[in-house]
Amino acid sequence: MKFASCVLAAGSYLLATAPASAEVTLGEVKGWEAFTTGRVNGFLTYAAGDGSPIDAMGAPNTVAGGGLPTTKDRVQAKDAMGMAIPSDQGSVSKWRLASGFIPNVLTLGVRNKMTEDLKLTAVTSLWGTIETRGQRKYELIQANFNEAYLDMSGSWGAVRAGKTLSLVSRGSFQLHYDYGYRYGVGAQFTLGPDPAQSYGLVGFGMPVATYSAGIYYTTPNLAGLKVNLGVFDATHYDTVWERTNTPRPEAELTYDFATPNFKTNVFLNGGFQKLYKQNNDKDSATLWGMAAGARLEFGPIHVGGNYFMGKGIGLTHAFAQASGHIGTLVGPKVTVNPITMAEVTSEELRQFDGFAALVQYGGKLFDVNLAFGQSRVHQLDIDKAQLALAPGPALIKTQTAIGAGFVFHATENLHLDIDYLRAMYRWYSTAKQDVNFLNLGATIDW
Amino acid sequence: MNLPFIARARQSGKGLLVAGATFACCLLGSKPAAAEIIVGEAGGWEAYSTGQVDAFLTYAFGDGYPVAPVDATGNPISRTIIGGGGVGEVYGRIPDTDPMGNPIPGRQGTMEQWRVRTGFSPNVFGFGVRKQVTPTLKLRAHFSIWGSIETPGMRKYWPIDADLKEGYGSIETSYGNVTIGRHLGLFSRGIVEMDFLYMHQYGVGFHGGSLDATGPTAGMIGFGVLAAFFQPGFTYTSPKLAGLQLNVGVYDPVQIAGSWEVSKTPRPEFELTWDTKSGNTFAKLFVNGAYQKLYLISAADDETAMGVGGGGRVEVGPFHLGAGGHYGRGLGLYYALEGGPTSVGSISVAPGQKPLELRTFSGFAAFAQYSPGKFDINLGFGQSRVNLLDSDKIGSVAASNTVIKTSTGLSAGFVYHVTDHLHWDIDYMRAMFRWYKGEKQDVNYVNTGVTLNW
Repeated sequence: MKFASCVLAAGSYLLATAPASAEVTLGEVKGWEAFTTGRVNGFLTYAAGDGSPIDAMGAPNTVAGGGLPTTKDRVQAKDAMGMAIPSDQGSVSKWRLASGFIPNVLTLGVRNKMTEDLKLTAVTSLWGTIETRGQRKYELIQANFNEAYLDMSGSWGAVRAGKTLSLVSRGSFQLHYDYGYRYGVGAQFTLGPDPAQSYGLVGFGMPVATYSAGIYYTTPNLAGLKVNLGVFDATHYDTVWERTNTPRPEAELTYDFATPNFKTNVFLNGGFQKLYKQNNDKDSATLWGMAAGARLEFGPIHVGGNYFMGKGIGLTHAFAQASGHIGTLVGPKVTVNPITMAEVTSEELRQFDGFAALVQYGGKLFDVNLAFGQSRVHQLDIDKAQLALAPGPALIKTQTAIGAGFVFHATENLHLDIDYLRAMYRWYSTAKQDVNFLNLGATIDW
Repeated sequence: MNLPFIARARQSGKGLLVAGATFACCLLGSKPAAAEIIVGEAGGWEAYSTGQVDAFLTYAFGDGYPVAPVDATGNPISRTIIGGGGVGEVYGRIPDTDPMGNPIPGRQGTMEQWRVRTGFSPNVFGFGVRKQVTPTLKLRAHFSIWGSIETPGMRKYWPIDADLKEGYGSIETSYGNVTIGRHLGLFSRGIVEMDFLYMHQYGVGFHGGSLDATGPTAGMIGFGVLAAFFQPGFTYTSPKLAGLQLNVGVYDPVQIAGSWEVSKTPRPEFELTWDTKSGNTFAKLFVNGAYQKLYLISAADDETAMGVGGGGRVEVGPFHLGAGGHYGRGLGLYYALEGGPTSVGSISVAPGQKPLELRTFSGFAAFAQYSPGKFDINLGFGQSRVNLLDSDKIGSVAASNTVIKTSTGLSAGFVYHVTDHLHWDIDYMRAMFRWYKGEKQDVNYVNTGVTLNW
């Protein structure tokens, strides 16, 4: 799944940093103005480092949902007969040609100032990677209607409805986009068979906000303060806590202040989702998350940081279970602690938190970006008890990354990037995996 | 001039599906040309649209897919027909029957199928922006979205997936051009361009390996023509020097599901072209190639898929002639370098033989066109050949396996250009498949339809 934001199309309140691309007006009829924005890019990427952890028999010994899976691309040490040693964690070394953190985007929109106090805007954005599933060239690149929303705005505020960027973790995501990976790649979520899925620093101090079906209201600017309140389509997990009854409320409070040489943005957001089980009217759980952060801009020097926490929120996508990753999100299906014999909540949601810091020198001709982030998964008491009795597949403990990038703005519409990210994965065992990502590419936007 | 262009095929077991792509090329145009539409301008950017819609009534008829033969007593002889060649219809087989109406064992029967479907080029919506930044620097971004008119499996409630077939940017300078993103690769580009221009731009040709499949058709792909494909990559195109132009690029690696499933390095490709134009005469030569290293999962073995292609075409007034060919390891019959069962030998081999060895492929095709302006008459002939491995001749499975040997196609078409933008086509193709153990299948395709482009 590609996430990231079509921030240009979203018309959000971002601080202007890197050279900005401009929309192209397509025409005007009866007060309706049509416009387009978008981008195309391509990156040569290289991933090198440890294979994913395995046991003595060569089977995975970690819970799915952390680290970089390397099932197919593992290169193991050879024995005297030239045969791969099954227990060797091995290494990976893989080149790809792939999209960046933001893939190809084609946005078309229309807008009309209907009255003095009512402006209507409709936007659709098609997103697509350049790489296909499974590295099979006959596979389609399915056009993803990642954004399709309407805006109604006036002196009374604004209402947005449709498929749009949700509020939880939005500020963090925009921070990472502006100061880190607008024109870069960062980490990859997989080496295959899915599209390379460039993730920037997502999973390392930030779960990304997702594009969701929703409606939210934004207040007018009150001395720099804005409140966003909305409801979004309900979300649930796939194999447990797979039932929901109600939509998901989310909110974000932002504060912006700017002088000619100084800008700041502060944000605080949160949301929750009540979850239930199939054919079960007794058990329930509350999936929730919150994030906060701030950024400061002193001329071309930009500094920002964010923190997030929540139960069941996950490492990569806020309020969205990645396929097969349920084992990281929820605890075991047991009702009694085998050591204390105390009653425990079966399939309890685990606690997550993380933080990230980004620094940018954002000049007119080039940017220098630095980033550091860490996400943590906290054990439940039942996890500790089970680990003490009989170690099984280990739960991911931390995902830490350090990244650096250089972007050269050849023109205001052509951006050349080289970036590096070192991802360090640690589990609640001796398992560890370190992977380095080196990326080089170009983006044209308008 | 930007022309829509087709080159996509799927090789999946016995099936071949085909779809499309868009290719912006500078061609000597003799037939009525579609023009892009300028849709807006702001800040030095110009937005434009290109595209086409089409629909064809098609009829396919001929032999059913080969079956295992029977011996004198009527018992089946052990025979595995390696997939990847022919037209594999199971549900569509019309069996030869005995007087009691029961299928006769060992007889492949026949098949026939009418469809209303997309042609060699599907429906295409192209959209792009461009900007002359300085006198020597031009930026361009181009998207094209492709979709057939028929649904998968002939189920009318299924959606038509919008395929973002192209999404690339180009940086054009006096030192040459760089293209980044998803765009047409270089290997086998020249021969597909020929199939498009001289035969199937407004036609249908071969329907692919399954009569109920969706997606654009294959034209002559699979019959001496390997499909170039749209892929992520970087391509550099040199300035033209006395007609010579060099294209070099690196592309996202391919791998072969079920065997050589690991690739580590990008795939280099190149194409060298030379063209000249004088009065009403035009000539173009091309040679291209690709190279991909492949590995097994957690094993030391490696293989190399590689291929070269070449050809040329000449236009003298309304008379257009062209021919080309290809040769290489692991190329496949349809999509260049997209491996399948035809590309990979058996894992069960005799001592001294290499398991999962890549087979060698070759092919050639020739095209002739008379294009005075209001109409075109097109002719095409091509043959692809699969060469056997030692393990196909001697070994544990050599006696039972049969591999496709040749795919031969003969095509003819007539296109009437009602206007510059409306084109009516009727075309015929005969596809002849031969296997190494004597199996054969002949299928005929008759197609007629219209294309509207801009």
